[in-house]
Amino acid sequence: MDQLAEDRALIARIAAREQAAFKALMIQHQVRVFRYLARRLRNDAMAEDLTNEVFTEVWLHADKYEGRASVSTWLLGMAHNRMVSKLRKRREEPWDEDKAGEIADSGDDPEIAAQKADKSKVIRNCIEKLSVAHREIVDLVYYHEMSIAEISGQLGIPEATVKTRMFYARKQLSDVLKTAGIDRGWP
Amino acid sequence: MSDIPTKHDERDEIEMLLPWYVTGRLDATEKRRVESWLVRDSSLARQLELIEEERRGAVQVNESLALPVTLSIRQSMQKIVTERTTGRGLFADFTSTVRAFFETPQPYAVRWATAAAVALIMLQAAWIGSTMTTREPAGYVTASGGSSQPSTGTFVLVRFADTATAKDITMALAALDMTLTDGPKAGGLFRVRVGDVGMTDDKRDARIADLKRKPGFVVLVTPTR
Repeated sequence: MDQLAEDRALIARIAAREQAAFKALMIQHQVRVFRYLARRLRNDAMAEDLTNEVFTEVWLHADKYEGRASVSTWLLGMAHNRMVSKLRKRREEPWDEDKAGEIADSGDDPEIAAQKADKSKVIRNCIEKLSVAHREIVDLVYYHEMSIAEISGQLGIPEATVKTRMFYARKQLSDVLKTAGIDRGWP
Repeated sequence: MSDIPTKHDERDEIEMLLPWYVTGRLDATEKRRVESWLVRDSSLARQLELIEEERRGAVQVNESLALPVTLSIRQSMQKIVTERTTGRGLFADFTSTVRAFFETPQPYAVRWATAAAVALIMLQAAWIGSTMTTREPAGYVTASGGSSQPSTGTFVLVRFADTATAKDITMALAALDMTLTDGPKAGGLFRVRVGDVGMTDDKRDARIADLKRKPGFVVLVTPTR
């Protein structure tokens, strides 16, 4: 059985109120959904609440899964929509993805200088300094291992934009790393 | 915004595909296209190292996040329970099971920790038992086995991944309502009870799929009597 067929079978079992299937789904996906939200929101409590809402929605509306995307993509899509909706309602921050994409976190981090010897630590710190949109696409590609088409669906942007956004995210990372003392020789 | 799509030559297009090449998320045609460039353009090949570096960093950043996993499971389940008490009778069977599971006097974490400790002891006992079988060819029973182990049910043989710890195994099996009943047998196989006796093949296969679904958890799962 391929992954999509397995996903459909699992969700069908959840729709049939099979507790073990629901638990299996949570075990497999909950961590990634939480991390996706926590990385974007920078607020663990809110990320946890939304993660719970996503899985509650799965339990209540599993029958709405059409099996066109993988379960992980479906879950991250729900997480994304809930996050955007929540932020809009709360009006804590205007959610302007285009604008957010251009603003990298600024300011020198004194820790970075002290961490030059530990390249991987510096890379981790520099990833955190990327703009919201760039950090997000880096996570979706490298951590969530989503395809170009899946990210396009998730973010509601054309596939060409997915590729260029990732390219510029990597470029921005190289720039931030250069500032931190690591010249990768690219771009 | 700076990432508005623009025209690029083919090399640039290939360069943009490299992150997905590294994660294995390109289709066969794109993959072949990338590989044909990699063999003739060493600067692109060099990019792969940088991308691996970036990927490791991104994974580490994500995995460093604190995970209130058990709390989340608990809250999600409880939320479903609440739905039932507000008049949605749909959840009657499920919620009674959930209540039994969560509404015990001990703190949640303590129950998980206890379960983990019990399984660790069981695994250790099984390991000691297996070494003893070399001296006792007549048979082998786990220290925690014998009459206390379920003798009926539907069983599968499982080889867990080397990276799966006793705690991982305990928590995952408990969450899936499965029980480790015997092992390790030859080839590092454990016998796991996945449900009641007389389970249909479809249901058993679904339970096997549940076990396989957790990444890096099992290497092999096969039905057994």
